[in-house]
Amino acid sequence: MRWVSYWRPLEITTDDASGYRHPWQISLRWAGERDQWEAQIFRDSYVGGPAAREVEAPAMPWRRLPRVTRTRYGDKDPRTPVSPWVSDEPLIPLPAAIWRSLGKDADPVLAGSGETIPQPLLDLGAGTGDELRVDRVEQTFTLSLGGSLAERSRLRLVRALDIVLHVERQRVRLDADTAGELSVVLDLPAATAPYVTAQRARYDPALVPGSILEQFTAALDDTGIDRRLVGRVYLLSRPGAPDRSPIDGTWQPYVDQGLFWNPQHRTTRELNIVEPLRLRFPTGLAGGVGDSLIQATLADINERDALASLLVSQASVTGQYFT
Amino acid sequence: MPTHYENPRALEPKLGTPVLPWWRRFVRWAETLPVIVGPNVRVTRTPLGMKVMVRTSNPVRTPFRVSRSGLDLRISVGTVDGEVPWIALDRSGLRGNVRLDGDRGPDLDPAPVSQVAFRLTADDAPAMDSDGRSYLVIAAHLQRMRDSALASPGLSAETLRLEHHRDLSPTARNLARANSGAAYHPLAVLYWSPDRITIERIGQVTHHNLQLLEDDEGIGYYAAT
Repeated sequence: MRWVSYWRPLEITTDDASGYRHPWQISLRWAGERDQWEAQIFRDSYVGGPAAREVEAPAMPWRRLPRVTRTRYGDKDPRTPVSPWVSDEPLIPLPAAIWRSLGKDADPVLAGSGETIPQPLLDLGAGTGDELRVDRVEQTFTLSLGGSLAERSRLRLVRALDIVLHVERQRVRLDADTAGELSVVLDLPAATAPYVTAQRARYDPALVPGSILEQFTAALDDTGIDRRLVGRVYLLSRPGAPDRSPIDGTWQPYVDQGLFWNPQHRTTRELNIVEPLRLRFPTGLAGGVGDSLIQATLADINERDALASLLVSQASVTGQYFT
Repeated sequence: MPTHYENPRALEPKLGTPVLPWWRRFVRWAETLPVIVGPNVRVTRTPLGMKVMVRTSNPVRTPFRVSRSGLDLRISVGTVDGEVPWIALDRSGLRGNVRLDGDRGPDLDPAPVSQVAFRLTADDAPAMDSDGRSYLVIAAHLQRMRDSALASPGLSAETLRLEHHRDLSPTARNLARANSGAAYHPLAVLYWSPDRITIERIGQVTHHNLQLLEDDEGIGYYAAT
């Protein structure tokens, strides 16, 4: 018997010896006093490049700011919300309103939009919900039910949100007036520092435009902000939780990390303007009878020509992340 | 030594197996399992039982990891284009230069790595009106590199070195670049105390070895693959 107790495991502890955390690593905690989940991004997170740019977290009231940020502001409350740096390790609030539902109790129409639950979460007991798919060509609706009632009663609810890095840059656009004059308009960025947000909407990477038409559309849709996914955060309820259960500390968080290093950001400017023709026609022919008619036609042609020039001209500022 | 081993297959429960007796057998079996002590496992045996301490991972070695002791910065070895950069052994430069791995050149004995430190003084503190940050950067002096290419190919203490900069704002950076023809990349941000006497914390920016590339838009640093 003595030998048995000699080998009995009394205590087994594991110790993460390295303590290494990579940049942009997201950790989550439940703040019971504020009744919400909060995210923290590891402090060694910058947008690199020639200057290590500090990244701003969402603005928060003075009493929620980390001590380091308050010291930087001279311990004087400016009476307006302040954006701390991510390197100050602030706790970014994730209120209940910004979590989107996935799986079992998700809106069937939104569920048909294509967001799937990752396989590891399905293995943990999350389940797909009902999906309503609309076929516009055939004009049919298909409602697929996510399993039997007994199966559905044991499923775990899923909530998700995306933490996204934004870098604002200059944006140029071409304007053409009716006289065919092209002008380049330069919009300066509203925010000078990169910033992160926690957003309800799913982040989808911008498509790389291929054809001229896609380039033109992309240039029109350009908001002057380059986004990059830092991580997608999931919460899993206990098995069998009723639909639309409120989020609390019993939910289990999982992070699908999207960024593991400090990215660099580069802005590329391209300006290649194709001048419009600006057709003119000598007036006074036939005693000036056709002048008004000809001028009206010419104005129309010139306007279309200006638009065509706008289409083939390129005035774009594109941003790019790289390592 | 354990008194007996039980066949794990015999422990497998079947439908209808009473739970409590099975659980007791299972625990008895688990207690007989030996612990094989390997790397990162420490076992302490006591009359009451055994404590097992498992270190789950080996320390991660990060290139250019900056740590401090007072105003001395120690930087772990990293490379730019496979070359280890240099630092000055003291601020005056009288004691010469040393590579981060302790090498001091072909004619001198290598310095112990423990003595290789980037030494700052209170004069290096950022201005009081700034945010209290300064930067440890890696600087590749490309013009000097090109000038010295014929004489001594490769990077040297003059062309690839660590430098301390009090300001990396675009204006100051561009001016410095225009003047010296150097390409900078920050290794770490140093956050000074409000009174600008001590360094309070260090933000590590670079976590990998670097590669120097030149393209149409200038010279940049990229992660080495």
